[in-house]
Order: sequence, then structure tokens, then C-alpha cells
Amino acid sequence: MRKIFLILTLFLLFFQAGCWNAREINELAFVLSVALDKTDNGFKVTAQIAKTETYSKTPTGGASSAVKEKPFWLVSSTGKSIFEAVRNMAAVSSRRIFWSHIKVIIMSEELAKGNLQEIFDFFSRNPELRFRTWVAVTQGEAGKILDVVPIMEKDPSLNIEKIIEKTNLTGKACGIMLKDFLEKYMDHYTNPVASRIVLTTQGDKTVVKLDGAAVFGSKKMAGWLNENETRGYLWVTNKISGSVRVINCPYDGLPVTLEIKKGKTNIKSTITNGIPQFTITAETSAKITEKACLTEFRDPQSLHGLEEVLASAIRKDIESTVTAAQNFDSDFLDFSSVLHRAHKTEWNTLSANWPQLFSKSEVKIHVKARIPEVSLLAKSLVPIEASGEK
Amino acid sequence: MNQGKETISTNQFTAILVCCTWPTIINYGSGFLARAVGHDMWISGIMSVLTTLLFVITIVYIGRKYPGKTIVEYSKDLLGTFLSKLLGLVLTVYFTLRAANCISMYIHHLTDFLLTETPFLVVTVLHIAVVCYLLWKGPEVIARMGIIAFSLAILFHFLVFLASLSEINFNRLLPFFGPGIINVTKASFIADSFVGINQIIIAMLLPLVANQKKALRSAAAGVSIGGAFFVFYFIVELMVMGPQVVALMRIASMDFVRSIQITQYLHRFESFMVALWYWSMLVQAGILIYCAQKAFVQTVGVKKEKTNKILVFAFGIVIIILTYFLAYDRVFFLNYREFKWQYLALPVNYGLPVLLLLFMLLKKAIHAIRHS
Repeated sequence: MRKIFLILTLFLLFFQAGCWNAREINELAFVLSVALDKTDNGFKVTAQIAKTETYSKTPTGGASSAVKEKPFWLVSSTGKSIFEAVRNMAAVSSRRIFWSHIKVIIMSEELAKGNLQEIFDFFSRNPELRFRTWVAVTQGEAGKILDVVPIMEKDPSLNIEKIIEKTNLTGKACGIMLKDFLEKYMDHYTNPVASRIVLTTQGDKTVVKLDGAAVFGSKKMAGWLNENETRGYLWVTNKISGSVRVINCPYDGLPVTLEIKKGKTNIKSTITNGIPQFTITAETSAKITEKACLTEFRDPQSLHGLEEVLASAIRKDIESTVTAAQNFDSDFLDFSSVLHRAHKTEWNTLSANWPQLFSKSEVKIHVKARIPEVSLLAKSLVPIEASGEK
Repeated sequence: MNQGKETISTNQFTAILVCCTWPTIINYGSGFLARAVGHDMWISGIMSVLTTLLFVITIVYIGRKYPGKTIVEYSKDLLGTFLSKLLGLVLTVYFTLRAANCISMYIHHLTDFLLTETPFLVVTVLHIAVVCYLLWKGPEVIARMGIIAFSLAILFHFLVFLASLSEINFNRLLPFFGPGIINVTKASFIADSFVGINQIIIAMLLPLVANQKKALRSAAAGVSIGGAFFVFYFIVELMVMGPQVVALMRIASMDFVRSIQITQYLHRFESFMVALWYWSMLVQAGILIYCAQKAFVQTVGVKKEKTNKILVFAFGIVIIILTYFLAYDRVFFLNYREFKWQYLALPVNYGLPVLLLLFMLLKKAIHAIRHS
């Protein structure tokens, strides 16, 4: 019996080489990000592939370095479907396209306003792709975004990924991962919001910037959110902490810059005569990081005035977002989930007319702002007036 | 195959039951349950564990009345020879099918995510060869392996916890009982089709447990710990991905693991997680085939040790064929496992203990009447 086992084991060893799935690293083309555009017959897929030979040798800051060769290769192909377009890349790429390290999916506005299912079906079925991939939309041609060599990073994907991860610093843009995008997309009542990427110039260089957000309606893109509306969205979704807000000093109208140290928003719902009402309560704790106004905020009365102005500014941001959501007929603020959680029984009857009810819903906004921190200074940076003494 | 009397300790018994409870339900079960009741799938899971615990108590109670006998053996006393043979054959088929299900899920995990180009049959044959080797060594070796698998399961869940921390959103679990208590209870039958086999496994393994006095406690601990594992996994999976995405996926557990990371430095660790999960799947498959073989042997009355050894090969080949026919076609397997399997599983898991209990009580009553 032992002999049989030995023979069997030796025989089975031949299957252990793993040849079927052998993917040598030097035979793979690592896609770092992908851009999707619409064509007359389907899709144009642009993949940003790391050039393994030059990638490791390229110092950080591709555009500013002396290295002339880009550490990545942009390859485009077209097809009736995304998968066909990706497979068509094999005609020009000697290496197998490998999706595991993809960081960003960028789609053009034109494509996003079409059928989203066509786009995301491929990405949700792909076993190599991670659901932590960021999703973004751009107004022009998506492929062009990937051609911009960043100033500080090696390649566009790393640059865009880091910018998205730091959106909370500006509070003017947002980021969404594929898993969260799919969650909102799959939900019958709520809708996703994705990053908006634009090209801008810094001196003579073209750079990529995150500005505002793209709002999706029922299964396709509905429109854009501007900076204020995006900030309101971040407030409502509790993603604002760490951002800045510049307001005008209530005493002399000069700008005061505040860092939002902590921002917490609660949404409560009630139903009156079958119409849902929402109360958004935002609480924030901010810190004065810069001010041009001459007011001394050590005086609690003065500081309270500034807190009132901050609260009012936040209220306006949230109001503008709610108005945008109702105008787009897109519940990207998750009001339906709030209503469902709070009024489980009523939701069963209300849900059938949710789109109509959502646009009719009354939204009250309460903001409570505190500024307990004034940075390192004990008083304003104002030259001391001459008093005759030294 | 081991000679002499086979025994397992109570800890090993607990570990085996843990391994038989959590790994398959997190694999395919989370998708089934999310499609049925969305974010309340974890409540259905808890209901299923509680139901199973009730039946565990029942089956241990019956088993203790017939010390040293498996369900197939004592059913002869309760149901008579013919019905006991029938029950033995039903259990043989049931355990064999369940083993094929378990193996199919593992094979799908490998062939659909990690070894996408390796032929299905190759992975199947290799995996079943390992399971059969374990079976060849006997239940004590499977039980010892169970202890290792249990330890790795703890590590698995600890890593899941760590990796999910930054992504969890409690609101994704609310409102509780959203689809209604009846629907959530109905969905617990889906979880039962995964978890409920424990009481039948206990009925087959009980004679092996060295300390019969502690058998109930260790059986209940095994089901409870295994249940806690998968309910925890469900909750975290829901809080990270949301019920819509879990429902979208065929094998949501793998997509979940692909969606989490431990800080910025330990990501893409799904292969590592599969390695931790594998041991429990291996133990489960080993125990299921052992139970199938044991039920067959006791039904047909095989006594020769050599025949038992041949049976290991025979069962291995049968399960390779079954796995291929059940699971090669993913659409067929998904439909069969999601919608058809419970019609076989639930009557066996719950009907059988109830039937045996009724016969036992009836027999007792008749005995009491006769003596009075």
C-alpha cells in the first residue's frame, strides 16, 4: 500500500508545477489606471501601464525630473464592449494586461451619461480588480487625463489616487471607491456621487485637479456639483473633518480662514401628511488658522459672532446641496435610507413614490459651530501702537 | 485507516463542529441570504444557530440513550431494520452530496479567483486526493487537524476585524427586521441548509467522543463558536460593502476580502486569507466524507478493514464525479444550491431528529403502557 501511495504522490507532483496559472512578472502589463470614452461603435479604453523597465529607475516627480522617458505607457483600443476593447489591446501589447493594481477608473461625461451598467458590469465581474479602486468622471476626453505627467509623482494614477485620498483637506471635492459606488448604484432609491477631475494649468504645466463632483441619477450621470455643493455633500455625509472654510469677518468683512477640526452631521426624519421632512443637524468644531481681520477674538462675544457666520456659511453650503439633489432628482444624500431606518413601516408605502416625495421633502438645517481653538497666537498680529514707553 | 477503537477528545469535537459551521456559509451563504433579506442576513444567521442548538440538544439526548451507537445503528432499534437501512442510505447520499457541495465551493473559490486558468478537474482531483488522504488516516487525524483549523479560523476572523475597521458603517445594518420578521425567519432556513447539518454530524460522531458527559457541552460550544464566526463575518461584510453589493456577488466573501486592507501596507491579502480558511474547509470535507462512508458501512454491514480502505477510494471517485457534474456549470450550481438544496437538507437536518425523537417517545410510551 505504501508503494501505491508513493507512486500516487509522485504522479500528483507533476500537477503541482502550477503551469496553468504561471504568470511571470516580466510577462505582465500592470494597468495602473484606466480611462473610458465613448465612441460611435462602443468604447475607447485607455490603459495606463507601468513600464517596468523605467518605472523603478524614474525618480518621484516624473515631470520635473531630467528623465525624458515616461515611466508608463498609454495604450488605447476600441471595442463594442469594454472587455472587447481590453482584449483588443493584446494586438498592441506584448504583455498580458493585468488589472490587479488598478487605482482609478476615469470615465468621460459623455459615457457617464449613457448606460452605467455597460461600464461597471465588466469591473464588478473582473476577478483581478479590487473594489477599493476609485471612480471619477471628467468633462472632456478621459484618456487625456492619463497623459498628464504629474509634477510630484511618478505616474498619473498614483497622483490621482493621492489627490483623491486628500480631498478632505480642501473640502471641495470627494472620492468614492468602486464598492461604495456599486452599493449606491444597486440601491433603487439612492444614487452615487463620484470625483470630478479637470485639467488645469500651473505655470506652463498642465496638471490634474479634483474639483466638485459628478452626481448620478437613475442609472446615469445627472450633472455636476460645484465646490459649495460638494462641500455641503461632504457635510451631510460626515466627510468634512480636516477641511478649510474661508468666511468673512462679521466686524470688518476681511477673510478669516478656519480649519474644520471636527464635523458631525445627524439627519432625522418625520412624516407630516405623508410628506417626509428632514432635519439636518450639523455640529462643528473649528480652529482659526489665518485671519486678515483685526478683531480680537479673545473676547467671547466677538468669537460668538464669528461662530454665527461660520454656522451660516455651512448652512448655505448644505442648503445648496439639498437644492441640487432635489433639482437633479437624485437622492445622493441618502435621505431614503434615513427615512427607511426611522420609519420602517411607513417606508413600505412611501417607497413606491420616493422620487416624487424626495423632491417635495422639506429640509430643515441647524448648524452649531464652535471655535475653541485660535492657533498659537494669544492676540491678533497687529503692530503695537506707540504708547511712549518701551 | 486506524486500527482499534477511534476516539476524539471533547476539544477536538468542538473544533470539528466549528469547522463544519462557518467556512461554507460565508462563502456562498452570504450572497444567498443577502438576496433574500438584505442587511438582516446576520439575524437569520443567529436564528439558524439557535435552531441548530435546539436540535443539537435533541440529538445528543437521543444519542445518549444508545451509547456507542451512531444514528444509523440506533435507528434500527427505533425504526426497525428496513427503515434504518433506508435512513442509512439517505444519510450516505446526503453526506456525499454535502461533501461535494463543500468541495465545489472551495474549487470555485480557487478556479474563479486565484487559479483561473487551471482546469476545474485538476483542482478538484488534487483537493479530493488530500481529503481522501486525511480520511485514510481516520477521524482522529481529522480531529487533530480540526484543532489547527480552529486556531487558524480565529486568526482569520481577527484579521478580518483589523482590516475592516476603517471601512465599517453601522447604518448599513439598519433598520433591523427591515423585510419583516417572517421573511427574516424564512431566510434562516437558507442558513439552516448550511449550519443544520451539524446535528446529523454529531449523531454520527458522538460514539467517538471520549468523554460522553461533556459531549453536549462541547457540541453546543462548537456550533456556537462556529455560528459566532460566521455571524461576525456577515456583520462586518455588510458594514463594509452594504447588502446590495453582497447580494450582487456569487462568492461575496472573496469580494469582501478584496475590499479591505490592514493599513496601507497589508492589502491584497486574499491569498493569505484563503490559506487560513482552507483548513476549516479541509476538515469539513474530511468529516463529511467520513460520515458518508461510516453511514454506508453501517448500512450494508461492511466489517472488513480492507473493504473500508477500498471505500475511501470509491468515495473519492464518486465525489470527484459528483463535484464535476454539480459545480463545473456555475449557473447550475448556483441555482441548485440557492433554491433546490434546502428541500433535501432541511428534512434531513430537522425532520430526522424529530422523527427519531417521536419514535423514541412512542416506544417509551408503549413500553410504559405494557408494563403498567
